[in-house]
Formats: sequence, structure tokens, C-alpha cells
Amino acid sequence: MKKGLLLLLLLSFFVSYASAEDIKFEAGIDKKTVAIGESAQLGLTFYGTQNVPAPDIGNIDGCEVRYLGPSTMMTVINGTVSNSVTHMYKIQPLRLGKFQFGPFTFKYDGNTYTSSIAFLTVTEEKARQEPFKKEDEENIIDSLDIKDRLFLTLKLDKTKAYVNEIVPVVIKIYVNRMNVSDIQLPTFNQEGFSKAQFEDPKQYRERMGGLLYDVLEFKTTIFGTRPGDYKLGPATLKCNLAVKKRVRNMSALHDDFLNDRGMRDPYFEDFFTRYERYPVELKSDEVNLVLLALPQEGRPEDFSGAVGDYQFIYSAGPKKVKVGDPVTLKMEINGTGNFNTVIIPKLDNTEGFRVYEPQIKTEPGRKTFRQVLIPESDKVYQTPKAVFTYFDPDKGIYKTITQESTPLQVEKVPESPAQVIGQAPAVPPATPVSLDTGPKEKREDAQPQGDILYIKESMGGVQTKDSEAYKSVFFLMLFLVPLLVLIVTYFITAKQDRLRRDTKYAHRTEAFKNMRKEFFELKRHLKSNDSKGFYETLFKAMQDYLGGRLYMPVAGLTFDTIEPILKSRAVDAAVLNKIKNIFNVCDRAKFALINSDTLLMKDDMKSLEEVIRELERFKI
Amino acid sequence: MKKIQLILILLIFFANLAVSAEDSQDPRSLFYKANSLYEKRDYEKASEAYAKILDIDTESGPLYFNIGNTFFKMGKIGYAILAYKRAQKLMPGDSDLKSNLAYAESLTEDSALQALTQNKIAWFFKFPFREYSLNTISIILSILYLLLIAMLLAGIIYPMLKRRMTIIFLPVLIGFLLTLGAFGIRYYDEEILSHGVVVAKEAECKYEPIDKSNNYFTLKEGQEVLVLKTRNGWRRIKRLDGKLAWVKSDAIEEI
Repeated sequence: MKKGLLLLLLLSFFVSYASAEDIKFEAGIDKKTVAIGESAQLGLTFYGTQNVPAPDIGNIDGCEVRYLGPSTMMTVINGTVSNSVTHMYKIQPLRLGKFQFGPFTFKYDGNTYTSSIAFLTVTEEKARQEPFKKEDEENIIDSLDIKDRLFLTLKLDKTKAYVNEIVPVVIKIYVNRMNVSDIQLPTFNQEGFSKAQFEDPKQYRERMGGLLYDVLEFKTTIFGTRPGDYKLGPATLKCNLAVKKRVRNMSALHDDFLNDRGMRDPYFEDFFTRYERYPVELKSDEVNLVLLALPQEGRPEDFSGAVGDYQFIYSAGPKKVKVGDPVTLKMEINGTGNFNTVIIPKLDNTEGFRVYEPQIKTEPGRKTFRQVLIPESDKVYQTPKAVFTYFDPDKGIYKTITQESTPLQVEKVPESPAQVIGQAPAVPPATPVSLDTGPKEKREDAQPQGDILYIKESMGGVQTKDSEAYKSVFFLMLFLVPLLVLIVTYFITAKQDRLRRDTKYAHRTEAFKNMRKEFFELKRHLKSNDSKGFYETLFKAMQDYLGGRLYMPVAGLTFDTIEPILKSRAVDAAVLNKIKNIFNVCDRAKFALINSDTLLMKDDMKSLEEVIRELERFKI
Repeated sequence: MKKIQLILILLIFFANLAVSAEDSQDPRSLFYKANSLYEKRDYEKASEAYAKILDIDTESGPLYFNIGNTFFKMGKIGYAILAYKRAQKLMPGDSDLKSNLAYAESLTEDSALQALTQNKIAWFFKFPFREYSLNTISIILSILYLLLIAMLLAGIIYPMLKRRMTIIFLPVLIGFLLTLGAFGIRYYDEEILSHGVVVAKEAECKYEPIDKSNNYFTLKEGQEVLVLKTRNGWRRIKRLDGKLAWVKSDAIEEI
């Protein structure tokens, strides 16, 4: 349950982040005509969000407007979440006439939304149907079956149509005061017909038989290819019906409490009730459709089956070319009708041109053909005429639109000395990317299968499988090595910079570096058992190191001169003793001219090592 | 003299044999051969010829494109979409491919679910690079990375250049971060997630990986799913609206 709530919250959160392009703003009114004295309800609906506050629609001349409140709706259709908020306004006309509501402009979150227009006619006579009061509606609801409060309808725009004529189909689910969720896309029996995909469903409110229904409308189109009498439907739609259940095990006290009129507020009802979902399959009635064959009378020879009401736009460019350069004919068929049956207009005479496979683009309400023609000689003076023939089902006649040729200026290509006589003309340099070549004959047999573009003639950049750059070790090294170089360079530069700026640090570093050299020297003396040289070097090493560490002149540096300084810097007494011993032993060796044995020299060298190790640990 | 002639003839014969053997393995010659079969409308043989190129561990965007066209002509929309999607990984900016894929997808019943997969943050990073393959993005990323490192190195070694370089450094850094984001998201999407396309006309999706399990929903040919795991001839799949189910392995091919 908690998970569900969380999901719902998350869903609402993400839904509320619908982009401005996803939000649609529509105005609708529940009645078209009212008698003076009656009221109507204007609904301003924002599809794709639930977070939009009520727009201020201001004063409408001749009407009294009162805001009633918002009504939100969220549906999940085949996993696609759609939601909306409708802000309801009570409209009380004060005079007779036709009122226009909208277009309303509303600014929200930096975006401007403009609504559609709704009209209301106010007459003197009472409307044919008495408006139902809320109590009446409740009485009706009590007497109604569930089938009257939740049902599906299937309607066609016409009962007779020609073969290949587009017939709009509308499937509506009507919901009155019921909680319906997980609505799936409807299906319907359409044997013998081709069906387009459903458009995005629309939500609105509709009054029918005195009841106000929430309506979800699905629109699609069909067309049939064989004449005859057909039955379409029934349409079926699956959804879940949430039924309110009181929480059981509640004490009588609680029941009394809940039965209190004040506690029958929907808020408290929701709090003490839970919903159980039941899967429901709704079924509509069947509808009849008669499909008529296209008339033989007046049928043009080049009629290819297009049915609808179309316009034909034709253009060619460039108008000045060289032999072998491509000229593109752009032929656009737009209008209403079955674009599946629209094929490329017939070109009158393509002699003198090499004809390539056309590029076809189908968009809602139009189909565009880009036909590349390549003039093969400079004797070509115009593009071919284009003829488009179709059947207009509303008027029941065939129509032909002919677009005249466009003049062309084709220049000769200066002969290249390298060109071999008899070689095929050069491949056009500017052939559109999507028009991979293919002679005219190919087009004719490729067309019936569909609108895919022709195969590629070049294999492009060939690679072995899984040889992508980012999968190689080199790629990883490319990132790691420069990073290491950067880090090392940074530390080296930082150290060099410090050595330049910090003299004490420079001396200390230098002292430590020199000490290494002097240790080599000491080892050499030790090896040759040269005690004099050994102690002279030991003394110098001690002096150099301490001079460097304490930033003091080395000449004349003795234990007596450094002792107070080291003491002031809290150097350990044991270390001080060791330093003192080293100086003493060096003095003895220097002045007493004694020959120390190797073991003693080793101990003294070790002592020096310990002193340096200890002093390196302190920041003196 | 006759002997020499014979040897020469034999040499030429074997040399020709070697060349023709090499040609038969050359992906480009195989490709042109397959194209000519396609032009003759022998789609069955053309698809076999294209498959031979894949068998020698070679691939290219146009190759998958042509395979897609071949399957389309054979009426195998699922396989056509699969091939187009594979081509899309290698040449996502190709307009012919976009057109053919869109057309093939328009013949399936999947369009309503596709919209659910849009994530705005991912879109922000992916959009500027939508025309580039992951490989190209990785190369752009490497170049920007090296440029950044070079600039940082120059700034460290020659501090006086720092101020001058700030104007160039910031755009390069932003470009690098954007590219890194795009690379990360695309890498996750293409290399870590396993996408699959339904190649069977219809695929029954079940609650459990056993034949007797109840049907949960049905996938249609060409529909795209995420493949989570494969076990004992079944695939655990996630539909783009988040529904999980088990489906027979042979009904789905991984992109």
C-alpha cells in the first residue's frame, strides 16, 4: 500500500514536470444553448499537468461568471500516464444572444497558453431539456444500473463510404461518478479494414440524459478495400473499476461517528474507506458500414487509387544546372484522405533525364516526394509535367491536377582530357544523401513493399566487431597516463616553486641531499679503514646537515653553538647526547690522532644515521 | 622449356586461386555481391551473403542497414528493426536509416510505449550528440580531455598563461563535462543495459519461466524490451513501461 502511494506520488511528481510543449489548453462548455435565466458550466482544461492554478478569465460582457473549483483526472492507458485539470466556471447569461468564450490566454511558469473557443447561445425559450438539479441527478443515479454509469460507445462518421475512403472512428468511454483506472487502448472487430493508430485520447465532460459524464475519447480512422456490407465492432476496452469499501472491524462507536452528517464529508470517507479494484471489460454495440466500389464512369486511365480531397504543389530546383547535375522535383500532396493510396504523381515525359528512386516522406495531412532527375544532355529545356489523379468521395468524381513543366537551363560540361570515351557520366556530386542510386526500373518493383529507402552501395567504415575505441586498453591509458603526468608535473612544479620561495626549505632539502653523498664517502673510508678521513667526513657531514637544517653558516659550527638552539626547539635530550658524542669522537680522532677500529666507526656512522632520522621527524 | 612453361602456368593458377580465396573473404567484395543479389530481388540469398560478412567478425553501419532492408523486403519486420537498431549504434545520424527505422516501427504497435522511455536529464546530455555514435563520442571526449590536460599542464608550467587561457578553458571544460555526461549515459544505455527486439510475430510473456505459467501480456513483433537475464531458454525482460515478465529466448534477439 505504502509502495503504491509512493509510486503514485512519484508519478504525480514526474507528471507535474510535463514540459510546456506537452501541455494543451482547451475551453469547453457543457451546453450549446440555454434559455435566459439558466446557467451553463464552462470548463478550462489543461491536459498534461495538474498543477496549473485557475486562470482569471475576467468579466465576460453580458454574463455573470463564478469560479466553481478544479477537477483533476489521471488515467493510465497501456502504461502511458495522462492527466488533466479542469477549472469549472458557472456562466449565468444576463442577456440574449450568442456568446463567445475564449480564446483565453494564460501565463504560467514562464509559458503562455492559448485556449480554444467555446460558444453559448442564449434564447428566450427554455432549452429543450430541463437542466437537472444535483438532487435530481442523485435520484437518477440511485435508480441506474452500473451499465448506465460506465459504458463504451463506437461511432462512425458515416454509414456509407467508398473503397479506400478514410472513415473516422470514435470510441468513447463514459464514466459517471466512478473511479476507473488502468484503461487500456480499445480494440474492435475491423475485419476487412485497415486501421490507423489511435490518436492521443481526449478527456472532457459531457452531459447525457441529465447526467454529467467524464468522457475519454479515442479516435482513429479505417479504410476498406473491398466493396460490401460490413458490421464493425463491437469495440471492447479493458480497465479496472475501483470500488469503495468501508474498513471492517470498526466499532459501533466508530460507525455512529461516521454516520454523523458532519463526518460524511468526502475527506473523512476517503480516510476510513479503501478501494478494491475489479477488472472490467466494456463492450460497445456494433455499427454498420456500406462500402461502395469506385465508379467506373469517368475513371482516368492513370488513376492509381488515391481517394480523398487533395492539393498538389510542385516545384523544381535548381533551375540552372550542368549536364550530370541533379535537379530535385518536390511534389507535395496535401489535404484530407487516405495517404496510403497516394503514390508519386506521374511524370509526363522523362526523356533526356536519368531518374532516381524518389524519397518519400509522409506526415499528418501531407505526403512529399523528392524526385531526383539528372539531365543527360544540354538539350533538355524543362522538367517533365506532373499529373496527379484522385477520387473525391464527397463529390463522387475523379479529379486530375496537372502541374506544368518548369524551364531548365542545362549547360554542357567542359570535356575532361582524362575522361575515357564511352565512360558512363560522372556520378552526380550533389546527389541527396538519402537517395542512394537505383535505376527507374527498381523503383517500380520496390514500391509496393513500402516506403523504405534503397540499400547503401558503399560499406562505409568497416570495423571488426567490438573494436570500438572505448573498449580498448589504449583508451583507458589515454585517460590515465596524461592524468599521472599532470599529477607528477604538479608536484614537481610545486616543489620547485617552494625551493625558490622558501629558503629554509631549500637549505633543509639541500642538507638532506648532501648527507646522502657524504654517507657514500663515509662508507668508502670505512671500507679502506681510513679513520682519519672517516671522522673528518663525519664531522663535515654533521656540520653540513645541522647548518642546513638550522639555516646557519657551516663554518665554525660546533655542538656548543647549536646546543641552545636545538634545546629551544625542544629536540629530545637523547638525540642531543648523540650529536654531542659524534662531535666529541670527531674531535678526539682529529686531535688525538687515534686509529679507531672498524666496529667503532660503524657505530658512529649508525649514530649519525639515527640522529638524522630523529631530526627529520621534527620540524626544527 | 616446356617444363618452365608448365611451372609458370601452375604458378599463375595457384596465384589466381589465392587471390580469389582472398576476395571471397574480403568484406567489401562480399558486400557488393550481396547488394547485387538484393538488386535481383533475391532477398533470401542476399541476407545469407550479408550474414557471411558478419561471420568474419566484420561490421559497419551500411551493412546492418542493408540487412535491415533485406529483412524488411522478406516481411520480417522484427529482424529488420533489429538490424536497423544495430546500424543506429554505428551511424545514428544517417537520415536514410532514420527514415527506414521510423517506417518499420510505424508498422509495429510499439509507439505508445516508446514515449515512456524519455528521461529529461538523459535527453539533455544525449540531445547534442544524437547524431554521433558512442565511438565518435569517445573520440571527442578523448580530444577534449587531452586538450584540458594540455591546458592544465601549460598553466602549471607557465603560470603566466593561466589568465589568458581562462577564456578557452571554460568552454572546453563545459564541453568536456557535457561529452562525459553523454558518454556515460550512452555507455550505460548501449553497453550495460541489454536491449532486445521481438523478432517473433507475437511473444507470450509469462509470470514464470515455464510453459504452463499464465500469460501476463503479449509482445508484438518489432517491440523493444530490456533483457535482464537469460536462463534455460527463457529471457527475463522488462517492457519499456516497466512491466517484467519471462519470454522464450528465441522470440527476442539482443541488439
